[in-house]
Parts: sequence; structure tokens; C-alpha cells
Amino acid sequence: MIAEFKNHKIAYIILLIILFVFVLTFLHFWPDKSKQRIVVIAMSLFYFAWGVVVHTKSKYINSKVIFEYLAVSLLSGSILILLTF
Amino acid sequence: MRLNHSINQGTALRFPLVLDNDFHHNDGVKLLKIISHLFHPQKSNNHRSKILHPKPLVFMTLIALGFYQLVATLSLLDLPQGNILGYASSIVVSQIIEGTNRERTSQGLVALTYNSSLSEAAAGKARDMFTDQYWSHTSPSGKEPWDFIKSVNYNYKIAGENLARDFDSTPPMMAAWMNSPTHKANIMNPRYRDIGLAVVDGKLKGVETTLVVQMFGTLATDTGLSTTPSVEVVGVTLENTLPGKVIPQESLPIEKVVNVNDSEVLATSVVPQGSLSQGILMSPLHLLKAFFLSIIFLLVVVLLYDGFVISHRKSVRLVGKNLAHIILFIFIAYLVVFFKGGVV
Repeated sequence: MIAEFKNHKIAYIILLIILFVFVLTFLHFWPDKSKQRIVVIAMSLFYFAWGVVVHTKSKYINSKVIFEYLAVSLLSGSILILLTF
Repeated sequence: MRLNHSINQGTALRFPLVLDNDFHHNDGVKLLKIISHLFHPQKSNNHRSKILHPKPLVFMTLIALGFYQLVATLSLLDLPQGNILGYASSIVVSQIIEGTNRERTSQGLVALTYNSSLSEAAAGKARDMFTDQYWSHTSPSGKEPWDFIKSVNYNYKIAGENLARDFDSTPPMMAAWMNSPTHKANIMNPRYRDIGLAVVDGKLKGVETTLVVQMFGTLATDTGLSTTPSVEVVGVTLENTLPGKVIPQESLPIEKVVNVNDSEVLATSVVPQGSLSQGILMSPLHLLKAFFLSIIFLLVVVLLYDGFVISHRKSVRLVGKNLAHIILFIFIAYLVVFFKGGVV
């Protein structure tokens, strides 16, 4: 895991910073749940895009990897969106 | 083979035993294989824990959706023993005012005007209930509803209060108020001119809930009303009009008309059936949070294990980045833990 982080340091730092910003934005918008939902959708889309871009850059990509990021984004987004209803 | 062997031997008694043991043995092996296939990276799952494949992840999303639906259904269930789950998160002030005025205008009464001072008083009352952890018109320190109204300098001729908690949305709460003669009397009182509301989320006796405080009033300067107060004392709530409900006397909310400086206060309260007598077992939000956190915990553990096994094998595979998934799920878990429900 540490080696993985070191190999893609910039990508992981970007991921951490942007996720942190999304978390702060999500908490900031409470109790406006519709805005919170928009933040969640944006966060899920960002994660999916991040995964695809990082894998494309390293040329380790196939349809299964894309579907994996899609599924992880869908699951994490659904969990948060369901809480806001 | 074993089955045939047993039959050939003619051991009628042994036959079912052998068959039974065989089944148990096979079942155990099958179960271990399934668990191994789900969690341990191996040839059968293309060297990636099956649970981390896209299809199982989508399946888990569907399970989360199904669980949400189940919790929503349970929250609406009105069991004789009381509600299993209870809290409100979609009660909207504007909808309550709209609902109240719809009921009034349908009977030819004047629509009430939103009054920010009364809302401030209602918010003060709700906060006080959370701070002192009580569910009553009178606080443990003896504060009455009209104390909150007076504190915001609303000099009233007549005032009233309706309370509600643990409703999941506005329509059933309005319906409960309208089904209770005393609360309906407050809503339909032709002598009121102003309305103030507070919908406040918090923890009341360990359960996350939404308190709704509805305050009515007419200013003393209003010349359209008679100043002669009527006197009546009634003790009726939604609960004790329902069959089979026994509520301790001290828990009974009361409706009363109190003369205070030539003013009168009607104070009533309503809670869903069973709330006071049975208590709520769990908040739906807590239940959802617990379930979602379990899913996240399982996935993080499997991701760690999967990464650990593969790094020790030093094999290469084309899959998503475990570390990135773990980071994402930790952020999601943080948001789930600190998520605050309700609408204010």
C-alpha cells in the first residue's frame, strides 16, 4: 500500500485533497439536502473520473477496471444519497 | 458411491446416517469454498476477492436500496405495540402552515399569518425540551408555553400550543392533529390570527428525533376579538382516545385554558400512537447508518486483505486500486457517522 502511494503520489494527493473538499462542502450544506445530493453526485463522478484517468495514464486499464470504479462510485454515492432522504 | 455401498451392505439403519454425514461434509466444504471464493483472491475469482468485482458491488448497492426501503416501511408501520422506528426528517414549516390554513379556510375561517416572534418562541420551547430532556408542556423547572411567548415580547390576548414529534413527514402529522379533537380545536380556533412554528432536530432521551412546536396567538392590540376569556379544562390526547392504550397519568399532555393577565393559553400535544407508552426502539437514521457502516467496514477489511495477499504473492493483476477505494470508503464512513438528519 505504501509503495502504491509512493508510485502515484500526485494522484493520491489530488484524490485526498478533493475528497476532503467534498466532505467539507457536504457538511457545510446541511440541512439543505438537495445541495448535499448534488455534492454526492459530483463526488461519485469525480472518483470515477479519477480512477479512469489514473489507470489510463498508467496504461493498466480494461472494461473491468472501468466497471469496478463505476460500481464503487455508485455504491458510495447511493449510501450517502439514501441518508439524505 | 457411498450411498450404493451402504445399500448393498443392507444396513438399513446405517443408510440414513451415511447419507446425513455426507451431506454435512459436503455442505461444510461448499460453504468454505463459497467464503474463500468471496473473500480470498484465487484462481476461481481471477485472483481478486469476488466481493470486490463490479457485479457484487452493484448487488451491494441494491441491498443498500432494499434496506432503505425496508426501514422506510417499518417507520410507517403502526404496530399495536407501538412504532419500531421513529423520527422525522421531512417535516417542512411551510407545509405545516399551508396545511393549517387549508383546514381553516375550508371551514370559512381566516388564514393565519406567519409571525416570526411566535416562531422564535416555538424554537425556544423546542430547544428547552432538548436541553432539559422532557416531553411536556411544562418543563421540569416549571416553565409554561406562555413563558416562551412572553419572552419574545409577543403580548398576546389569546395563545395556544400544539406539539408533535417522531413523525416522518408533514401529512401524517397534520392528519393526527386533525384527528385529535383538542388539537383540531387549536387549529380551527377562529380567535387566532398568528402562527409560529419550529421544527427542531435533536436527541430526546437517546433517540434522534424531530420536535415540532406550533404556536398560535392573537396580539392584545388586535381589536377584532372579544377580550372575555372562556374557561374550560380538558384532558384529552390522541393516545387516550385510542383503544388499548394506557399512559401514565404524569405523561398525559393536557389541554387547558389558563387565565394569565386576562389572556388565555390553550396547550395541547400529540404524539404518534405508542410513542409515549412504548418508546421508540431505534431511529431509522441510526439503523441506516449502522447498516451502511457495516457494508463499508466489510469492504475496507476485504480490500485490505486482498491487497495484503496479492502484495505477498508479488503477482500482477489488472484491477482497480485498493488504496484509492479504501480512502474513498473512509471518507464516506466519516460522512455517514457525522451526517445529521432532519429539516429545519
